[in-house]
Amino acid sequence: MKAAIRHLKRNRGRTILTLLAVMIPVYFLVFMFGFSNSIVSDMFETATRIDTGHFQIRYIERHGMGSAIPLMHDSESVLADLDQIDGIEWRTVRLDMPALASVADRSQAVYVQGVIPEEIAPISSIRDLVVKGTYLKKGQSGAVIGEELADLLNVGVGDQITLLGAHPETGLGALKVPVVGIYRAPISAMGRTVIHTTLTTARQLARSPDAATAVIVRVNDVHGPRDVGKIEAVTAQLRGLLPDELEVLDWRDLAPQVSGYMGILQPVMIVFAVIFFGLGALVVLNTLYLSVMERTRELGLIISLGASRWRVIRMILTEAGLIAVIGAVYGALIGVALAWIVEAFGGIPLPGADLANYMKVVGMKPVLHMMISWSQVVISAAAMVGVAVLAAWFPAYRASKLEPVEAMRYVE
Amino acid sequence: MNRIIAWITLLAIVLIGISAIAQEDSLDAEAILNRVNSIWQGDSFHGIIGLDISLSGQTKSYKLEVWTLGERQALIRVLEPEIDLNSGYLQMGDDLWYYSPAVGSIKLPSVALGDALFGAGPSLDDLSRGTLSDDYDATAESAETGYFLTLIPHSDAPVVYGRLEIWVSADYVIEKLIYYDQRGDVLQMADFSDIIEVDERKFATTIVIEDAYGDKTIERIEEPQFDLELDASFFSLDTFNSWEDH
Repeated sequence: MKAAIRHLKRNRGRTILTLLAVMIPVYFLVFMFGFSNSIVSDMFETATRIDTGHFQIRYIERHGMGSAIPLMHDSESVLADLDQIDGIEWRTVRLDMPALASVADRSQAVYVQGVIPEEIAPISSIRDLVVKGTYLKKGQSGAVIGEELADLLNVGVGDQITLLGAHPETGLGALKVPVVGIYRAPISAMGRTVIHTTLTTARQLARSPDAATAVIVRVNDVHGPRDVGKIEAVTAQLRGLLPDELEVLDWRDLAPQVSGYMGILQPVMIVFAVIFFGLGALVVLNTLYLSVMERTRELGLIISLGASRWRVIRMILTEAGLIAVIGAVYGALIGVALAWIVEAFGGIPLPGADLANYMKVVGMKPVLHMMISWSQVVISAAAMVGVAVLAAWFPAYRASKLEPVEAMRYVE
Repeated sequence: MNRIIAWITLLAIVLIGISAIAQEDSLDAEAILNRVNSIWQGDSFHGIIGLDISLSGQTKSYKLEVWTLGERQALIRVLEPEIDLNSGYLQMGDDLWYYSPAVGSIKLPSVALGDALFGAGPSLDDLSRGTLSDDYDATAESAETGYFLTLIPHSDAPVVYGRLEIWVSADYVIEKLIYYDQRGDVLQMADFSDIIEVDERKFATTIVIEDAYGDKTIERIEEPQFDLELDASFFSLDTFNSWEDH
């Protein structure tokens, strides 16, 4: 250890270069994990709070229903089944159906979600997204529509829109409802198509006084996709209680595009990690190899004085390990500190309206936040240390194979 | 020389044979379709249509009064069930409206022409008695009782089917229609039966449409009238309002 420290001090320039080679990949990875965690969390929260919940209970879809979901007329018994399960944070009944929203000659295909306002309000972020008027109130007949739909139909708060719903099980239903609120959607398509009305209003549209299409459920202590095991534990219990005609669909089934985007992020991060670690390893290998070459005579002398080859290997690896640990710790600390600074300033706003709009389309805010996971910080740093030590193996092996006499005659 | 004459004779026989077969195959599909359409649609039509729409074991029944003028104008009034009484559809060219006594008329996007009218069952295109549009290339062959036609959609045609096969009787009444998807699998089959004669035209009054999943729509046409005097102004939003007085 002493010899390793002494040598690191002896060639400070090379030591700093090696330190940077280890530090920079770790810092980059920690920083990028921070971004990707935030992106994944954004998508998960947007999907599960606004639309899917952590899971839904529905009747199994049948052929010929188009985009309509089978009607559920026994939601009370489903709620009773749910009450037997531990770990449920929240649940509500909802009636979703495709419809046409129309005002004069303007019309747009929409998706009406009939909700119980007092139940959905604490969970759904649509209430917080309302920018004009108010969210639905208990017993109120009205609709909350997105800004995009309001523009398309040229309506404002207080105007009436006509909804025409066609459910295969109940036929056509039409009614007029006043717009009570307009929300700013995190996803443009949602703002154009998703309308919130009360469950009572949606049931009038579906012409069925007890209809629902799903029971929406959230599970305790779920903070992101990493807690998917908790959701699976609850749904596994539930499947045993429900009749065969009912199915449990989790957020991945209900929002496959969101889980698809999340699925893309993981391999992207792996590719980045491989590139960063690969470059870091090359620099470590190069500098240590040069260092071994420079110390050929010294190493030859050490071997000739009786040091075993394994001791030489250990010396070089200790040197590499020491520098890797210091570099990784500094890299991780810088990454965490930068993430903290970014968050302290409220995130990084995305430049340009196009990029911001694209982020909206995929369900993300147009501001990049950082969300550090300590396990990822530790894994990134530990992985870099491992890679650096591995890269040092070749120079160490070469050093151990030096012939003492030839090594001592070696001239640079 | 004799050998050459023999070869020429043989060649001539083969050519005449091929030409005869080709003539058989190249029955004028378009002319047959026009005759079918003419019988099926007439210049105008009025009738009462009963619909039994079965979906996943549940059946809903409707009774409709239907008027058509040419292929581009249609008016449908719902007579039953009671809850839908006097609601209806109006088609004027590509423009389409739905009417409900409770909310008045609603303009629909033209794509709704192909959507199921009541969430399931036939579309307005089906009921307005449009049959075989300009979207297909048709070929015809002789069949046992009449003609067998194959219709392939043009590459840019806005249709969901990959192919249609139609059996037509010698007097140009459709007997059977099979709809295939793009992969060649059967999507649905329509059987035409209970043929009656109205004003010297033979006409199927029961159509059973069954899809690959067993869901079924039975369409029964009562009191069909063809080529009656219908004023174009009848096909207007005002007609909707007049229904409530009856």
